[in-house]
Amino acid sequence: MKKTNKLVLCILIIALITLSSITAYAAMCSHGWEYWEVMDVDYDYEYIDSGVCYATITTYVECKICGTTGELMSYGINSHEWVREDLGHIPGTNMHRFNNTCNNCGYSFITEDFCSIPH
Amino acid sequence: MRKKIIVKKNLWILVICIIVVLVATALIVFRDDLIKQGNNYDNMIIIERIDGQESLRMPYKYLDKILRDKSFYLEEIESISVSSVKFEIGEESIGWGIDEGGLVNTEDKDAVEILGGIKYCKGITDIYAIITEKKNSSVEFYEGYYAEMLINNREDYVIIPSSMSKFINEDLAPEEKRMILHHSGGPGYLGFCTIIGEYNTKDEYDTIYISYPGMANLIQAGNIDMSEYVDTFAIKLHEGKDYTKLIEYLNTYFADADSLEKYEGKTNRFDDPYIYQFVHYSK
Repeated sequence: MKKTNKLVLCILIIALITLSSITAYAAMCSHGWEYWEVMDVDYDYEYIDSGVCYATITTYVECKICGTTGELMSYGINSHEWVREDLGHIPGTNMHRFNNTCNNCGYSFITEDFCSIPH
Repeated sequence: MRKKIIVKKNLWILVICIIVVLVATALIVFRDDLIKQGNNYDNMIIIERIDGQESLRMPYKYLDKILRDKSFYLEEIESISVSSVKFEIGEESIGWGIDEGGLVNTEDKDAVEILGGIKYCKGITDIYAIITEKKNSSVEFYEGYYAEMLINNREDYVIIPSSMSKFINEDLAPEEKRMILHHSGGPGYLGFCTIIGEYNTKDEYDTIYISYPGMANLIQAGNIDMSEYVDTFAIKLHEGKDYTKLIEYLNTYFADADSLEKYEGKTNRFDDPYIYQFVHYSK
């Protein structure tokens, strides 16, 4: 991902966070932040490129005094968390096929890995 | 009598011829080593071990600190040339793969020998490390790629042995030709290294050279001890500048080779004993 693209994305994220906080605050009750309790957090990831995925984090809050509920949105860029699954030996070669899946965004792709142990 | 003189004369000519042939052969065989000895260190600062061992085996923290502080010395420093120690490729360490369809001819008789012959990977900031490490070698960059990419910390790149290139699918677009590296110690991390060139050598084709930041990321992800990470470290200087400030700074980490006795029993800014020295080769 180009540096300029990342910069634009960062500015966009900051703007979105600011905007969402203002919106959330306006929609909440008149009690202060200290009375709000985090009820749940949801993470939603989207593939950007092979290096990172884009995270949308939704935090569900509730006012402990009046019971008003609300959602706070935040955004971030995370590294992939890869999980590799060995799909087995490729016949006639010293290669193994692997399925690589990101635990966060679910993006997956297949690689052919050289195996140093002779078959 | 005359015949005896002629025989003696011929014998001398034969001996001289044999000596000339032997000297010429020796020059041809050892020319790489002879050229190597004549390294051009003009206007450079070379970091060395005080105990004289060739590989620095220096902790990564030194390099990390100097790279971060480099911006304070842009007037003096033209570039920093670094290579990591070699890391073994194997089941319990670093492994490599290529996107499905990226490898071809893997059923060839020599595939196991050539692909299996890649036993090490090494981080580099420039091709100097390849040229000095591999006998009679040259590096060819593919179209659109160049040596400066080896210090790019946004993307990772790799230079492969030329013996390996016949196994890379030529039909792929240049940016699709990439090696995917992983470390058994850090299974959640994959390093995507675009193949930007290849090296030719008369030495062994046993190493892949990774752009320096990419190599460091892979090793850090693998939770590998980096206390002996740096192999070579040189600072190329801009000509005709005042280096006093830079030398003072380097003094806080490394001993000045010209006055080693000053550092005996002392510790540097990392509170380590001075085990490295810097040598300033001026023009």
